[in-house]
Amino acid sequence: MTVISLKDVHKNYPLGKTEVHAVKGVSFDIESGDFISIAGPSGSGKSTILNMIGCIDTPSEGIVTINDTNTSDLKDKEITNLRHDVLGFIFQNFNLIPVLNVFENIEFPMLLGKNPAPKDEREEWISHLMEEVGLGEWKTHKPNELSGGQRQRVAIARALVTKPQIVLADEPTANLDSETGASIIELMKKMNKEYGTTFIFSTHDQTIVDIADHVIQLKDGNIIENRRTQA
Amino acid sequence: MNISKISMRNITRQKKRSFLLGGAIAFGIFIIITIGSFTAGMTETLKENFTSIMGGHIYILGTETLESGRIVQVIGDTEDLERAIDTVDDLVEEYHVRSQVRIGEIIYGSKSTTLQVSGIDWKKEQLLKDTLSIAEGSLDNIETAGSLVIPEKIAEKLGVIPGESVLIRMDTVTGQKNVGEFTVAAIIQEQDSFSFISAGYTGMDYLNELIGLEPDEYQYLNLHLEDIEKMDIAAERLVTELEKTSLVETGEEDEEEGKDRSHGMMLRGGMSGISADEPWEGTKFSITTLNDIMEPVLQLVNILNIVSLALFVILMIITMVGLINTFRMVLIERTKEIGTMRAIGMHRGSIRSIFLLEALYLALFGAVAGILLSFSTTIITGLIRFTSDSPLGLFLHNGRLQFITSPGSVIKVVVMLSIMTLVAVYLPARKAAKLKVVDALRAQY
Repeated sequence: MTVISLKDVHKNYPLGKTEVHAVKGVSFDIESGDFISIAGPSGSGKSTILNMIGCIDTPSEGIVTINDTNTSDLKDKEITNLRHDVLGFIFQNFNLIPVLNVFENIEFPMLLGKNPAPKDEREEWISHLMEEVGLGEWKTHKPNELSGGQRQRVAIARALVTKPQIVLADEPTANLDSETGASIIELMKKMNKEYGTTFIFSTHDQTIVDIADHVIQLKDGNIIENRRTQA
Repeated sequence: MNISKISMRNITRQKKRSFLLGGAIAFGIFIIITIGSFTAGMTETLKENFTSIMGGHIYILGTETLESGRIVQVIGDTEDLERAIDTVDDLVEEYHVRSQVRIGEIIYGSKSTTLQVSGIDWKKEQLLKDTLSIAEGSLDNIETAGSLVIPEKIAEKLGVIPGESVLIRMDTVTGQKNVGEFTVAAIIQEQDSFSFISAGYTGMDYLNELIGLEPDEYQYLNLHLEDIEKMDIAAERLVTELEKTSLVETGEEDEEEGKDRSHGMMLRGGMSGISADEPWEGTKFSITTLNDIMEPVLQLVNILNIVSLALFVILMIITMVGLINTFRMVLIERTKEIGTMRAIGMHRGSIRSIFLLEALYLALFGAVAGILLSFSTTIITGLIRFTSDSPLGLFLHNGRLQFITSPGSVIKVVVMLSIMTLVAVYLPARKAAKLKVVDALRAQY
């Protein structure tokens, strides 16, 4: 089942008096449960495409649909709800809330919904996720007391806590050493298998690209390769 | 709850900055509440002191014209007065009658000074007895004819001690000279606070005899009301009833005419206030209330309150400018965080609320600190005993300054502060809420 579809998507940025064409007519579909890597060198348009899929940026031309909804047609409130209900985010710089501890950071998206789950249910689910990402003992620690790898694990748990259909990870390993980076990708892969969540991650590191079962290779805002590594 | 928790914790992120801002708010709150408590306490002290010294809240003075054309202060015709009193009986707690020597010369040995002497019916003036602060001697035998209570300042000037005799030279109601012998029963501390009065007290029967009044005659009828707030209503009723049969002068009329006569009568005493141009029949009544007497004090209090409010507003404006700048900095410092929160599903309104709540909490912490500081200052200052000749003498209650902090005024100040804070921080909060998510996430911080 197609969950995300991009049709002839362009993105132009003004840069001084000129315009930068970051994405030049990109089209592809993403199936539910996929583990996708959007790969390419710096400046190839990976982050821009992820931002448009994540509804935090809009295409200059073309259509981005999520579950058959054209995201350009939505108002801010609807887009915010869509981001909360359908999407999860993992950032390159982890982007945890510094004043909240590990448990509270993971819980944070759950409390933003219209009908948050009861406290007991929330606690049980968050504890389970913390065990899954290997942070069971770090519940009350603040982000600044954690290593980069641990912070990214918190971010993964936070992205999954609302049980989203899709998780977007923008260069999740860029700020980690290669070993930790590989373990983070492994963890994401495990979550993808366990919960059936669609994972889309961008990377410029060729060594982790092939872990994905669907690779979209970009160069200068164009797709140069769109292949499935597994059936 | 989440928003509230984040806002609260955000305050602690820049402790020094929050402390300085909160401190500025606390200082403003401290100033306005302390001055407010002081003026309220001062007004109340003055009211209490006047009420006890003058024996009530409404003062009715009688004046009559004798056949000789001479004017005397006496309430001779009590029939009209009694009818008028009936109309306010439900509001009155106690009636006190008094006669008075406006300016007497008190003599002890070779020394003398002036003193106003009030004739008191001691059996009925328990309130006055309770209020008098005895420095030496006692009021045990005060009902003995000729017993006199004098202020400490007078006693010091004359070098007299309780048990000794003094002479008082005075005018009778008909203007003749007379001298009476008195025994100093007690020396009181407080009355010299009212240095413009320097009041002494003696039994009314004895004083009446000396100034030429019958034992049952009196010059003033003072009404002590159950509820001080009903003072003007009671005075109005009295005037309405008395006007049916007698000539009446009131404090208000006097003020309108700019003659300030009622105050003169009570504080300076004498006939000067009542026009002697036209003789009249029967008793002419002059009705003065505590409010009339307090008018200049209340004006002073109002000026003090306005000054403190202006000071508060200026301090708050400076603080609000600080708050606006701080939250503009906060906006820059937390742009990425705002982007993250928006990306994971927080609505614009919640971002705005985090900013507004953070500012509000900061203001409320400052307010609580200011209130506590003000309370401690007023409690400590209230414990200090000032000397009776201190410039604050007029405002002392048993030698101490009285502070009254009404919860209403505190709430009003806190509400005002909260509104100003929310208005000041609204623009940075709105700007934060309107940030584009993608731009916010790209920010350096």
